[in-house]
Amino acid sequence: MLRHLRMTLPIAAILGCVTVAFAQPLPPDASYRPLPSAPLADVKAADEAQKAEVMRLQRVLLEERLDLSDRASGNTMMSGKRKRVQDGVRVKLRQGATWESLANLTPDEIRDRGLLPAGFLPLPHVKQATGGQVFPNNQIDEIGRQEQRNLRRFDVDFDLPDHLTPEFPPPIFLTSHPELGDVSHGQLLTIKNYYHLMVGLLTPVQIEGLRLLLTPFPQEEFNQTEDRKSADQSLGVTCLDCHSNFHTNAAFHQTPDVRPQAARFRLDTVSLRGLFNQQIHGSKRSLRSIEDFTQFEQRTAYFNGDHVSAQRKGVNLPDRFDQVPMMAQMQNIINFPPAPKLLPTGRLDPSKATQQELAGEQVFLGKGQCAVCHVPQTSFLDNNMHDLHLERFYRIGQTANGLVMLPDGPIKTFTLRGIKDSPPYMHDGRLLTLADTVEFFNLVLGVKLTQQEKESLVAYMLAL
Amino acid sequence: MRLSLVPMSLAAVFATIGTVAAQPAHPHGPGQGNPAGTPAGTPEAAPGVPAPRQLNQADRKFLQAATAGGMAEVEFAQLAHRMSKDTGIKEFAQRMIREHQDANKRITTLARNAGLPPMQGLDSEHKAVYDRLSKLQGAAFDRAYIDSQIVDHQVMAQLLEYELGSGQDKELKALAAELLPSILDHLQTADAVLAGLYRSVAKQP
Repeated sequence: MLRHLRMTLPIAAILGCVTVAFAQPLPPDASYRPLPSAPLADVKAADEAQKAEVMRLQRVLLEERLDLSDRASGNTMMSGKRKRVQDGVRVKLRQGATWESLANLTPDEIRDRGLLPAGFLPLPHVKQATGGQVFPNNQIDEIGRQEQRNLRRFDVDFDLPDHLTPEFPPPIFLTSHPELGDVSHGQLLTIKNYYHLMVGLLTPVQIEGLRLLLTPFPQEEFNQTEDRKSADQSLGVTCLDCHSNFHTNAAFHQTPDVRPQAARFRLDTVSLRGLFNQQIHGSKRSLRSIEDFTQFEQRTAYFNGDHVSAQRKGVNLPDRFDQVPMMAQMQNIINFPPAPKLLPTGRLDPSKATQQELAGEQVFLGKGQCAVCHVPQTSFLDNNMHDLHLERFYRIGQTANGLVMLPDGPIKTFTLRGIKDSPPYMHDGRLLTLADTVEFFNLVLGVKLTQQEKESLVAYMLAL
Repeated sequence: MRLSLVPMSLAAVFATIGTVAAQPAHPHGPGQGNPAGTPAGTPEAAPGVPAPRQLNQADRKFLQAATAGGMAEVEFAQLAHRMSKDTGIKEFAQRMIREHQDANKRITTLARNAGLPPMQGLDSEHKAVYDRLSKLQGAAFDRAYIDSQIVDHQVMAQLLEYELGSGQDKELKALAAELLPSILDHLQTADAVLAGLYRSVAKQP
């Protein structure tokens, strides 16, 4: 020990001066959004010219990784009974591998032989170098119809087929009116219809919170400056443009919490259902209240974590003492969809559940280790972030359509209540079905489930 | 664990780089660039596609920093190979010499093609570190060298990612994508070498 100390102390003294000399800063645009170097007309023309190739590349990537076909699981519907739930494992195996053979290999063996299915890797944004919010066509069309507001980008389109996204518009369930069930009237809530739909159901402060959540404000790609991706000078976007009816329409973005651009992983919009029980918010940021999240999304979802760019394009900072609490109160009364087979404890009611669902619950609580993080009693959350260390299974630093495959680091545990309504899965939407998530965690956790156990687990999750 | 860092021969690499522009793009690479970073008036190969060797500011910064960093890697490694008695350090240094020399040739060619002035020796920051390293010996040298390697490879990894996101030249971005896994592997190996320095101390009676 003494010998060890004698060695290290003088070294420590030297270290300071050696490492300090390595400043070598990257240029500012590695962190900050640069000003455009060409006029909007030129950028738009180039973007439009590139668009077909951009979409082709992403389509090739998706088809290499995933089976995108329309294969619904019998009559299992999402909660609003507007869309069938998709079935089956959609991640494609590498040549020669089976799910069973993979599960019997160590992470090192899978990495060294390059056997991790590419569909388990981080999913790139449709145009990684540009990034930004991308809305599905159903949202774009409905906002265009109701508000004459344009959410269409001239450089990219949404990249997943419609049958792989949540039902639209999603139903709305209120904690304050469980007896009413879905109160959406089958409509998408917008600034044009919210008052008519909600007066009498909500309190005045909730209505005001809703109004703010439906009011468009300038955003990085939708604003009035030359640095935008909408053809017209846009009024901006609203919170519920992504969180349609407080759920999700699978609109995607990039994490605002990472730089440089090539390392920013994709973010799939998370549902706001059951927010009242969620203690941390944001996949990476771990914001400790919905008030913090609501306030800070103006810096992140709207402007990529770049307050400097926001200042130029039109920053909106909702008043923390008055407006933010009203927006939070509104979000806090959004309930999960009904789960008639669940008891108040979060466990299945044996008098209502099938044998397969009950078997799935046992796997969930036991061998599958799912309940270690997705605790049934606390809305299938543990209010923690966890690092799955997927990088044990692949060689980091490869690039896929502009995104560098890097360790995800700790990510927030997502609820599994109403999970059948929320495809695609994982924080970036890399997995299309619940069966995919079972194969993913079977490998990552090394739990070696049998085919029967995997199928029962899917049946169980459909009941949540 | 020994990992092959330069999977292709140099000739094969040049052949690959030379044909990048001719092949239809595939999704296992940098993808399409952001035209907002393309200087106005840049000549185009096709609508929306900058002509080959039309560099933007990020491309130039990348070439300049990669040239400086790559040259320093080799110089530092040659110094380490002479100065160190630690097997782990010596092996690491040999690998840095071999693999960065290969990469440096390619970067130098691309910089020359882009009309950048050639580097005349180490840049001032690396020169200052080199001078400090030269005055150290034994364990102090080993620790300082490997620490400098960890920082240098962290910087290089971020630089390659920066080029992938902000650059516009296809050849440069393809090179950045190809080098990045190796640079991250160097970084992980450097971490292991650092840990090894203390294991060897602890093992001594």
